[in-house]
Amino acid sequence: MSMFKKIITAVLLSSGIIIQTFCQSEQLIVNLSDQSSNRLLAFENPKGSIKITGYDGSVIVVTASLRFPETEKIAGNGLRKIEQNSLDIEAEVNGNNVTLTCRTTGKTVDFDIKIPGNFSLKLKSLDNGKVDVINVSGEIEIENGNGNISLENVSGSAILSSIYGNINAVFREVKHDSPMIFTSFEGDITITLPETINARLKIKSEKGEILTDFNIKPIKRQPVVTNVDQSKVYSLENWVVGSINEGGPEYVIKSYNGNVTLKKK
Amino acid sequence: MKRRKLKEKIYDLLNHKQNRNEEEEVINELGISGISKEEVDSLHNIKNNLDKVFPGEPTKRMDRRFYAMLEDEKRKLLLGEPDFGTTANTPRFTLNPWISIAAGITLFILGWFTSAWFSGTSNGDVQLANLSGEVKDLKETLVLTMMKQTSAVERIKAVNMVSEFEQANSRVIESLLRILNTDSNENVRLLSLEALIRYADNPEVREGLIASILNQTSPMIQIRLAEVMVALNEKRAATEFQKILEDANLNYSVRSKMNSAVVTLL
Repeated sequence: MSMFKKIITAVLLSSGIIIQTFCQSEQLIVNLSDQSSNRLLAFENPKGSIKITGYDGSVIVVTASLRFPETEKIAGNGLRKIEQNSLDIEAEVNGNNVTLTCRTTGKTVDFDIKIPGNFSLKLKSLDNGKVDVINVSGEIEIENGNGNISLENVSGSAILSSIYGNINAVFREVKHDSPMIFTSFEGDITITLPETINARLKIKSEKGEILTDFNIKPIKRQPVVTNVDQSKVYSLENWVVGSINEGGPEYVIKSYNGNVTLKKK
Repeated sequence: MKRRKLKEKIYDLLNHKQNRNEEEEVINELGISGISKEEVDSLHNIKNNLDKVFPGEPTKRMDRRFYAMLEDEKRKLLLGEPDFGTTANTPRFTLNPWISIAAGITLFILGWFTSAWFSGTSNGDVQLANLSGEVKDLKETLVLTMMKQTSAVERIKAVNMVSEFEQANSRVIESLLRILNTDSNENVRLLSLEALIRYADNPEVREGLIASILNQTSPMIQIRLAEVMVALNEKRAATEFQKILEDANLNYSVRSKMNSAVVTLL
């Protein structure tokens, strides 16, 4: 093949054979031709949770399960209704990029994915789920409008956003030159960082509180002012800005209704 | 006619063949023709020097020596005798005329640069300004390229770099607005809005911000836009907010903020 593009499609169909328990989960193994460190997994789950765990292996193991198992239903007249359960999952490998697609719509499908520890992630859950990432090192980009986002023992950098969920991220290490952003409109944000990091912070909580055990040195900034009609001047700057240790890449943490907590690891 | 007369008078003047009145008259006339008294004086000096250089008629001895030398040279030419005598005493450098010209030009350029070097800071400032302009252009190109990267981290770095610019030109503003309206990541869009707020005085930015209101679905961005439009007293935004308020599923906090924005602006 001219492009190293490989498509692995796994479609599970429970057929017309009458079985007592329908197959409710499906596993997909994605072989990776590229073993470099610069790899990315992109996945958008239409409905359901995503859990990614870094491990020592060299393949990606995807397990997808229906959250609400279908049970056999009696339709009457001694006939049984056969559910046409189908989990339609596809993984596309293109160089060092892996794109996972779930085409099953309407049903809530939870994904449990084992991945080589050194991987960047671009994840999105559109509905009805939480996103958990454990033991992964790379650039982690997650959007989960309706649910929680949790990072545990990760390293690298993260760009996380939610509307109604909480964000909880515990970093083992951070990439020294990468900016990070954490935003949740309604939820609380708790970020745990190594004590020795160098960063410049920009924090804001409109209705909540900002709590920290870091020694944050306030930075005086030129306020952003705008001259309206040459007569009135308004300030549009309302962030708390400070630096941790020597200062460094900018970390933006913003919640509207929730609290922001910044902790030392 | 008059001119020829004047020429004669000058000759007389230089040889002191006139009385004082005549001399003054001639000098005045020369002054009218654009030749000052100083120039006449310098001509006097030249004439005096020339008189000293030529001390009268050549003597017979000189004549003899001259003709002897001439004969000598003729003989050398005829016999093809190499010209040892003269080269040994006065070495001559015969250079290709083009090399001489090139050397002249080089010296001229060298002189030019040296004078520019020593002539104070104005030239230096210009050069420095040009250099910093080039650096700025380079930085801008880098930012625009980074804004198109697939990695959200790179795009954020690019947006953050814009805050280092004192002024953003329309190319940068256009790119920031594009990110605000179309970037796949909500956080990158929010940062782009924060960067644009710094240039809210620019009419292009204001137009862009108003036009982007209907594109936004993130409550964080919607609320920030409401705050900004109230601060800018931008009445045109009110109608856009009213359109968003028609959405029954609008977040409660966004709804109350936009309602108060509309009330303030109208």
